[in-house]
Amino acid sequence: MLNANRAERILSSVTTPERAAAIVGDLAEEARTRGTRWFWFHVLRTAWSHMRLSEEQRLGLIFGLICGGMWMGLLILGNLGGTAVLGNIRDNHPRVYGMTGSFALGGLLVPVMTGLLAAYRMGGSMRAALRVGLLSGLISGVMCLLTIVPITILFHGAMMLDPSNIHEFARSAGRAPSQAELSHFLYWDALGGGLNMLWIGSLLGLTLGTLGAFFGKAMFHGDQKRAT
Amino acid sequence: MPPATTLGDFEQIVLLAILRVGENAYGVPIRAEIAACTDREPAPGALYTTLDRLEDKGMVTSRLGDPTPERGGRAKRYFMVTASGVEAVTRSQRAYQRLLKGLKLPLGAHA
Repeated sequence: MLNANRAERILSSVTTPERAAAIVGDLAEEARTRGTRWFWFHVLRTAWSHMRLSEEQRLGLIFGLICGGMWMGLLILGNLGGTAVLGNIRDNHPRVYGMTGSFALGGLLVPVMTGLLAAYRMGGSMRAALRVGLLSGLISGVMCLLTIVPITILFHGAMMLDPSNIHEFARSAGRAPSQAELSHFLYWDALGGGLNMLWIGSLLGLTLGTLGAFFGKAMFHGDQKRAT
Repeated sequence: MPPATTLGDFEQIVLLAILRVGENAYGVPIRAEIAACTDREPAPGALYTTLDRLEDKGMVTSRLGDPTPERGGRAKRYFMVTASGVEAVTRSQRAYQRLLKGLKLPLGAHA
């Protein structure tokens, strides 16, 4: 749906209301032949290009979104893979479910790459790289929280039937759960896990980012030496 | 004498497109003109940020037209190239022409 008022509100947050209205008018005019998807793609792209972010913020945001995407994939597959929502792919398509491993690995490698690239692009500055790592880690943590809580609420019924959740409760409590206990357990586990990801994500961004930053700094100084 | 303001490639393209379109130079026809002349369609976001930057540099001015119903009551933002914009793009283009002059290019093309 071409909701031009909403598009105008988005663009008004990054430019003046008059300019936002004129841009939305232009995009709406072209969207008559190009379609709604084209319209929204360019509303968001135009908003992105108008954002006056520093290099650090831009890198932190981009890598935070990539890393958060990895964790989101892991959370969705991990929590819904054994349910009817995803066709019980854990049992029916173990290879697809095996992507959880790739997502987890990606979630660890991306912070390293973040630190590496940030240090390299910021003139070998460890401090700047750590700020980028922290920001990207925090963003990925927020994305985890915003993923796990909604999927637990939306697909609560399906998750209640997942045997792995029942086993997880039984392992910690030493007995099988009642329906009410399992429901309670799922909600609190999601909220607790999601909130924990805020500091875990930030910590991973800092520590793994530091590791990558050492390489980035070394690469930057290596290039400097070769150039002189 | 103050140093002359330099223009990037895309800034020059945008200024020339505005001059070519003339009085009706708002986002849509400017983008269409660039696409027609360069065979490359610029992203709207890139065009609008460049137009804003050119306005900040004093190379273009803009005015809002009347709201039109086919745009959901939104006005068009018309752009005009200022005298300093004309001067800057002319200077940049002359520099290119001087660089090309007399140059024997590969594949038999001559400047």
